[in-house]
Amino acid sequence: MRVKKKTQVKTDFKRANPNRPREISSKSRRIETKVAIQVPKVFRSDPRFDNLCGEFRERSFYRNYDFVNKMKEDEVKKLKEELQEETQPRRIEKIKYLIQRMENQIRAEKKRKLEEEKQEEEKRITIEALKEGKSPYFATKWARKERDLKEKFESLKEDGRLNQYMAKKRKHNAQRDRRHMPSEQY
Amino acid sequence: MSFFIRKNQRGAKRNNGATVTGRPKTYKEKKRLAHDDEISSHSEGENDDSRVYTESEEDEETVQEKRLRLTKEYIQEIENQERIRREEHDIDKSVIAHRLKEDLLEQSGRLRRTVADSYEKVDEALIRHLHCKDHKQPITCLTISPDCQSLFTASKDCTIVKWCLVDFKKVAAIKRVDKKTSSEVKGHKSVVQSLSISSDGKFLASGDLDNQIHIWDPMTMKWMHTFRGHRAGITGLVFRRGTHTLYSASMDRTVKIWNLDEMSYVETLLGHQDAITSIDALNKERAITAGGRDNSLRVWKIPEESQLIFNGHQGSIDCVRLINEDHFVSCGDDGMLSLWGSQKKKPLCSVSGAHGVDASNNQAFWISSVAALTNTDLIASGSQDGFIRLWKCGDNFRTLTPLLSVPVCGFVNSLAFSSDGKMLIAGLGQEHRLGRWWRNGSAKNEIVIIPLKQRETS
Repeated sequence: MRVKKKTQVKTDFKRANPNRPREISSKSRRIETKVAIQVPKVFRSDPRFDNLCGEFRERSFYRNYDFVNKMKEDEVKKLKEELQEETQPRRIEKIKYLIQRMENQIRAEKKRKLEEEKQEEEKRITIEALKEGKSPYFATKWARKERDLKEKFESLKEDGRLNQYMAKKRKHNAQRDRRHMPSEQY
Repeated sequence: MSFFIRKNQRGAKRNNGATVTGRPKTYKEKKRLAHDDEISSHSEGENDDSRVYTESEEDEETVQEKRLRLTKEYIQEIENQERIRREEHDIDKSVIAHRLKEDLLEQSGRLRRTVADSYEKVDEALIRHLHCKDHKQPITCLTISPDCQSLFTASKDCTIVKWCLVDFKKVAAIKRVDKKTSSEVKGHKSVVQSLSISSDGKFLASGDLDNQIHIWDPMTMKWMHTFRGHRAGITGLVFRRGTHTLYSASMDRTVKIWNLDEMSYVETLLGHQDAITSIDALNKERAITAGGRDNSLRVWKIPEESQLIFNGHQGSIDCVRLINEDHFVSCGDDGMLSLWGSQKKKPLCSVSGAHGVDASNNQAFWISSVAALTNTDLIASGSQDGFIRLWKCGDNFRTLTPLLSVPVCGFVNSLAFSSDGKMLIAGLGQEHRLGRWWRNGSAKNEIVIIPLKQRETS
């Protein structure tokens, strides 16, 4: 059995006070991690998993970033103007695509806002009922759906698109029913 | 002479009961007497307490008598010297005491002389310029022989030239060597960045960027030996005073110690994190190195195998010089001149923009060289702004005040004081010694010898 000889490296240099120079061994080959030119290390954090960002609150999020929707509406107008002046086909395609996209987003946002308003309306009713002392009324899912259908029916009737809408609906339903029918192959 | 200095012999038994003198009888007595008889003119070690030997024991009377005789002779010698100096017949006793005290302080490394204030304005007509064919490119480094009789300079065209400082003429030159020259002719193949001469004038060491250290005999300028061990260019060389130990600093971040009595390698010191730019040493077994961009100066305590780390400067630290055993001065390419003490990790005093600001890029001029008159309070610094500035270290090395400025043209790549403080020698060039960032076409690649005159104090 070979016994390895360990060379004693003096590492217990203690200085009288922290203003004195630091003392270390002059024999160790350890490379200190300090580099001549230091680049600050960038720490990136995902707000979804970062505790510091807190929990996601949908209402606050939409409220805070509402200004973007206003910007979108302005930009759609500008894009439409640009489209009229644009001559290159590729660019026209791009602008059309963008306009379509943005309009879809605006529409979706409006829809979402309506939903939010409805929910707030319901809450308001229940709170009022509680205040007055009456028993609160909580709407069921079907009640909500019924109310929505009624509203849609009314709005379509006003616009005059009711017939078109009903025809489409009938076709769609018929197709769905046909799927459940037995096929003719066997 | 350290007749009065005696090492504290711990563990040495004293024969209290021993009888009179005569012949030493026991082995121990013989050994002790032999040791006492040795008159060491060199006291080493840091635990050296100077004590006046006043004990008189019966068995060591002969030794004491001998010491008395020798001290009397020494005092006589000093008296003669002082007589020659002053040309007077009456010798002032206090002068001898002062001289003895100075010698003692110098040996123990605690001598401090305040001479900076006594220097007069330099007479520009007396400044000498030395040129030669062998130094067509900028001078990189220079060293003065300890007897101030000769000067050795090296330049970017890989040559070393010996000058005589009495008649200011070139004496000898070591020319550049390349693949075609035969291996018998010795010289340097690449730029010589460092030169050093031993304190007894017996060895001249020169280091180049080709990892070689050549040792020459300064008298005959003949090649003696080559040390190959470094893995990158050698940027600094210094001899420990009073010995033949050479410390070499290199761009491979190591300091190597060589013994020239045996022409051998001794050891390597590790720790720097960037190429070492400069090294200096005095009488103690210590060396100080400047580490370039790792912003550290390291004092290497060689017998304890440890290093002290001092932090400062913002850019690269280009040059460091010891003023005395406890204080040193450093300069860098951030334009700062810093005074340090060995007890504090940060500089005691810093002058930023010591040589002014470059109008073309709004940065402070890089200070490329610094020199210190040993054991005094006088410092010189050189840059490319056209002046060599002399500074006074005041108030226990806590302040730096500008003293004089000498106008020169070019990059001051190297500065050195002669040991008697009568000359300041500067090696100038059209370019910086480390590279070609600028080129000053109106300057000349020459050596400038500035005579320094002290005011006569009444």
